[in-house]
Amino acid sequence: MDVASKALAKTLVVSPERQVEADSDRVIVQRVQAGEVAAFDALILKYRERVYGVVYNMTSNREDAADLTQDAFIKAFQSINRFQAQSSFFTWLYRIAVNSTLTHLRKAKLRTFFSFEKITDEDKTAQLVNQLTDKNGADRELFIRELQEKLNEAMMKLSIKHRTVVTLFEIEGLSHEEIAEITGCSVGTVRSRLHYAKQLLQAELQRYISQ
Amino acid sequence: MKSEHPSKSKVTLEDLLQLKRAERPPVEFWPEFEQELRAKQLAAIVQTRSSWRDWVGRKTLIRLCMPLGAAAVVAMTFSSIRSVGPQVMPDESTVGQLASGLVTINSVVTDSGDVAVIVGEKSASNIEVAVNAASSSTDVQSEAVAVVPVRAVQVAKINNFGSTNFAARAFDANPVMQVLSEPTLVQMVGRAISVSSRAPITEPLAQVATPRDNRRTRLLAYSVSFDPHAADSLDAVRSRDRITHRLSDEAIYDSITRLGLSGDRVSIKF
Repeated sequence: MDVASKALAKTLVVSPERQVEADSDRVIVQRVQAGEVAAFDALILKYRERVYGVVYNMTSNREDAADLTQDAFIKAFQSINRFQAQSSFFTWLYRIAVNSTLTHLRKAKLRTFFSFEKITDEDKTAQLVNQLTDKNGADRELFIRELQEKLNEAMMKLSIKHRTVVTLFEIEGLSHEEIAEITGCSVGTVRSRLHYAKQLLQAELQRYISQ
Repeated sequence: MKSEHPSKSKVTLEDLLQLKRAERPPVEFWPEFEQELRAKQLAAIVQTRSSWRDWVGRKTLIRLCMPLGAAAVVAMTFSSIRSVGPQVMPDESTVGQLASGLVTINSVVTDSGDVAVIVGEKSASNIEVAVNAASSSTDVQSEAVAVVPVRAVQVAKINNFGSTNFAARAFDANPVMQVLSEPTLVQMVGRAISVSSRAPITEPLAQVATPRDNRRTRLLAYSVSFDPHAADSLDAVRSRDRITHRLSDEAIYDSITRLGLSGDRVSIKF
């Protein structure tokens, strides 16, 4: 195990899949650092949807999300030589994306408007929606739209920091440790923010949640 | 009556948040995304290079501008000092030459038989001009006779002060000739020179006192005159001087507690 892997294992409680992913990323990053610029495309292809998802769920605006995701990749490409593999590439990339988004949200604090992506009708989603509706076709569509709006409204009522933690934990499925590394705060802070954010969301979405 | 959300008892917050995961862009979105990303990447590369060049250019310009600007400032300072500063003092030999010039003029004038000029040979400060008016001279000529010795001495003095006055220099160059040709003008110029020569020549910048200096001076004067016993003590004066020097404009303005207007008087309380 080399120094970078040791550092990574020390800072993060990584799952085996994440470790494998981090190792393969490091190989690609080394190729890019060696001058093989085209290798960066593999990283874009691999992470674009996840990064986009994080940014979108933080902004609730698809145009802003697209722009910010592109900016994050460009920033990562420009400063790839400074990446020293102390953390995994995806944590580093997420950090860039989250910081860019936070900066954007702080700048456009008063100018918030939604533009939603369509909810894809996957098995899990369909099951949940079926649970929530009376299985009437027309009502179902309306209900999904209304629910999506309420969800995003509730998310946007959270502070930027709380929204970030909820997005990374509940939607992206990252661990507390990874979130702590991305946001630059302690694991305890992440947990407390998550707890507080959930309480607020629960109060906002009470209508849809069982007591 | 139909319930609005019949199955809501089974739904949790986590389930609802799972719906957010399902908010994904369509497949057609990604080619466009990639195209935009490529364009931005290229733009970023070009911008980075140009900004780097700009930075280097600016740095070079700054490097060149600093010494050039400093040199310009020094040159301007020198030129301004030279234009207002004292001229080169004429030494005794110069004055001696002037005297010899006077002697020459003297001889010329004497030849004409109207005026006699006698100049001391040893020192310019001892120049004495004696003009003996001929018996046929007019009143004006006799007035010029009276003027010449005084002016000759004054011209020498003006030269010693290093005057830059053009009239003084012109007069200085050939005073007797001036006396003889334009006696009235000589009188007028003489008065002007004597007035200007009395004023001490100082640099204009040295004469400028800032409002802060004036205020400090007033405060210092006030503090000294306020306590006559303390004024005798050198330490007390020094300490007051220190205090007044520490008083900045802002501090004075900030310390104003009351501002009153009564008639044509303004009262300020600190």
